[in-house]
Amino acid sequence: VDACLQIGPHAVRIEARDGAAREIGHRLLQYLAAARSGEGTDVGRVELTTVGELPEAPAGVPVAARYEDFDLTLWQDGDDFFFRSSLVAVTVAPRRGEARVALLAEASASGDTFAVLMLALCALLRPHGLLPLHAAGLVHASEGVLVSAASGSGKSTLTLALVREGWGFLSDDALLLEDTASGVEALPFRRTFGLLPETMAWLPVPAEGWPRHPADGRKVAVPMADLLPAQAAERCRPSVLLFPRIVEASESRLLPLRPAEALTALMRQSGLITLDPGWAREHMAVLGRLVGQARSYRLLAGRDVLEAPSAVSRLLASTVPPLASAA
Amino acid sequence: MSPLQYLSNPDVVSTELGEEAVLLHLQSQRYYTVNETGLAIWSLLAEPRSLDEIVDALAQDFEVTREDARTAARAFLDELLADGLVREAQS
Repeated sequence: VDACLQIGPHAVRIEARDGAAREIGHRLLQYLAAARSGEGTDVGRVELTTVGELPEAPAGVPVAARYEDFDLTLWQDGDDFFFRSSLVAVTVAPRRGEARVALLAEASASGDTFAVLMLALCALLRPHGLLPLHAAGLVHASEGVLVSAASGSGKSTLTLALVREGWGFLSDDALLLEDTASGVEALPFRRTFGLLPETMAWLPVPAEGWPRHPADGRKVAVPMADLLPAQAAERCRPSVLLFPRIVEASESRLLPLRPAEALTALMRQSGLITLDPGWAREHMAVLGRLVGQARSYRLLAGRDVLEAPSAVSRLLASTVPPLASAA
Repeated sequence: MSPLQYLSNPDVVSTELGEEAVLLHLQSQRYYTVNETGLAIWSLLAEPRSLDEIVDALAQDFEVTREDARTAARAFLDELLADGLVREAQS
């Protein structure tokens, strides 16, 4: 075992079969910045191997989905999946807790490789009740605030503005949801923040020397939980859902969203939701419960996110219900 | 010949949220929001239903005439059929 990736109460073993695969495994762990103690319950293993030629999809198995954003095709054979991009092929047996990853040598230079590896981890974690959500997770007054939107909607900038104002945080981009007896909770999945050089000046840390963000060459990957450990949170119970959109305005505004609007917005940011009918039902039900426990708003994000973060912090703090935890 | 019946597509997953619902078509990966009347019709289509049965249910549960219920149900079923959310079935 080369490393153990701990996500909430779960641990995934990462095993590399050669030096190049070990380097990719190391970068994956650095990218996720997850705990590596291995103290969680073992839910599976990811085996990484560098190959000269990617394996073909299993014969006779139909294509289940194509994800053009990642140049990814997916085949489903009962409970098992086979993903393949031009650089990576992954066989996942979620019920057995096994993911075998074959990589071409040039895969390490592609951000899509990490997106595919994240999908493999999602497939391993899913039978254990952890569902992925493309969202930032913040904490204010002990209440969780999720910010969900497609890339380029100002999620990372807003998250950093609120962290700068003292809000707690889980992630600026990738969360896992867990349905618990006390409601749906969020855990950090990827803990590095992807920051643009101009926003680095907001932090009391050196502006240079950070690794490049694998999925976005303009950004650097900053291990925020190491830099601001007092604000890093391990999980939260979301009571506010924000869906930001950048607008040409000086001041940000909030518009309440109907539950059905919030649910469709969350579904658009939930990877793998359409993959399997059984999973989709469970996934939609959990997202529905999340919407049911939270207030939802469209955030029309103005220039004050950059120019007056304290005003945005006050605006968004007003959405957090006082005493929600005691209810 | 018995009347045409309508049945929801098993590849469509739905979640109710108060008086609305969200439908997800797993094949096309498209999402739909339906209102209170749409939700009432969608809930009936878990089993094969004729247009008359749907009209009866709407006229009973909502304050509408049978004529208005038929117009609304016909239009909604046409949209559902066009996007493959329901199927026609001969009883």
